Amino acid sequence: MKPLIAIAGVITIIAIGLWLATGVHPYTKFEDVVQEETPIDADDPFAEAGFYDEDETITQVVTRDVFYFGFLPTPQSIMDKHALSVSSVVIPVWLVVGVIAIVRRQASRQIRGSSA
Amino acid sequence: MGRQCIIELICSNLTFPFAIYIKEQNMIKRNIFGLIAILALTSVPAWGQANPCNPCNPCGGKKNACNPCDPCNPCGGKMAAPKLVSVNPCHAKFGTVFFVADSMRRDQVTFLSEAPLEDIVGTTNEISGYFAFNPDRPKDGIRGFFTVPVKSLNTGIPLRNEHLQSEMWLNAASNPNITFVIESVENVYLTKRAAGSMTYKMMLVGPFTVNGNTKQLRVPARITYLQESDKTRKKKPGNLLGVRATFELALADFGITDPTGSDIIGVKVGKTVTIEVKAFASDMKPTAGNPCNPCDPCNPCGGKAKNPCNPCGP
Repeated sequence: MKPLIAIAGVITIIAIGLWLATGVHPYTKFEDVVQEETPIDADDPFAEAGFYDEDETITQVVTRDVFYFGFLPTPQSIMDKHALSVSSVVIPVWLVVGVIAIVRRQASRQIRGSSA
Repeated sequence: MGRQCIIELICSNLTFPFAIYIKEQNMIKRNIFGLIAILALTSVPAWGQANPCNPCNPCGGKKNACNPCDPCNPCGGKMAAPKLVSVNPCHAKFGTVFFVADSMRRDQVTFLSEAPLEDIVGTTNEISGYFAFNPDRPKDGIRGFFTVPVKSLNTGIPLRNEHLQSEMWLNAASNPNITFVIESVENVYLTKRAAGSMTYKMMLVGPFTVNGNTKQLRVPARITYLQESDKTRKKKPGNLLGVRATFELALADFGITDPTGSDIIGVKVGKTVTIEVKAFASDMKPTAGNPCNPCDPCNPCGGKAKNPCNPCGP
């Protein structure tokens, strides 16, 4: 059982590490829609015509390709990359470890019982 | 020791089942990385999917075999330009018609929801419509129509987009478009006038329809008119009209309420959302000047290199 627990531990550490390293986001994301400030293009004929106020901060919503390994998955289907997340990786891994531990225990009891 | 076991797990949200088949129990002991490999293989995500919602990366980083050389049409025409809406003849009487249908997708509608648990930003570049007015005399009246497909709204999380389009929220199946009809204009005043340009601030008034519910709205807007020049032609052909508007919508006004038994609005989604619109219209219909392929100004000859109409040569 020790190697299994070690593997599960490593996977957990990697998953949590990835979550921390990618910004501790609640959901796994592969693109980010963010509002950000943009400078006014001096050559923009609209800027010269008063489309923006002189002291105005212009914002624009941009869609960027990113990778945030989130705590929760947001999959639309089974084979969706958005299914990757801390909870969807760590919980199944520890469930596997738990089930294997139970199966092993029952098997060893059966062996002990039959030998007795 | 030859015992076999099949472990099937359903992850926390019950949408991510994967199975691990272990032939030999000893395999785990021999190959420490075996389980990691199996986990990785069984959870192979759909990497490299095309991203039609992202105008900067519409092909998901893949060079499109259909048309890899055309930056205007990187997906071989799969990313269609916003459709031209037909102009109401009654509206056309109010002056020059300026069309909003940018195949380069520079027009933008965004919504911002601020709630204690989460701020959500969504956007679309698929805005189409028109403005009809006389730039010299806007007080005579402005008419217009704008539409945005609900399915084009992108929040950055596909599952959230799916929820947004679902029956519980915007019901894209029954009400595929969000529309605004400009029926009148109030408080028009000129803020800046220069050679070949005019900027007005005004209140656009008309029915706004979301989720099949219509409410009369007063939308504060800024409109800049530019006569065609060398500078404006770099942006778009024709006389141009820039439109900016920011306003708030109360979700309850449009029949958008919490799904039964949940407490999402006010906690994860704001009770009101802020809408921002920035669009650039032209009095030249997007079809004009493209006899070879009037539907696509970026690909006027439909990708046919030997087309005599091809303005870029063979």
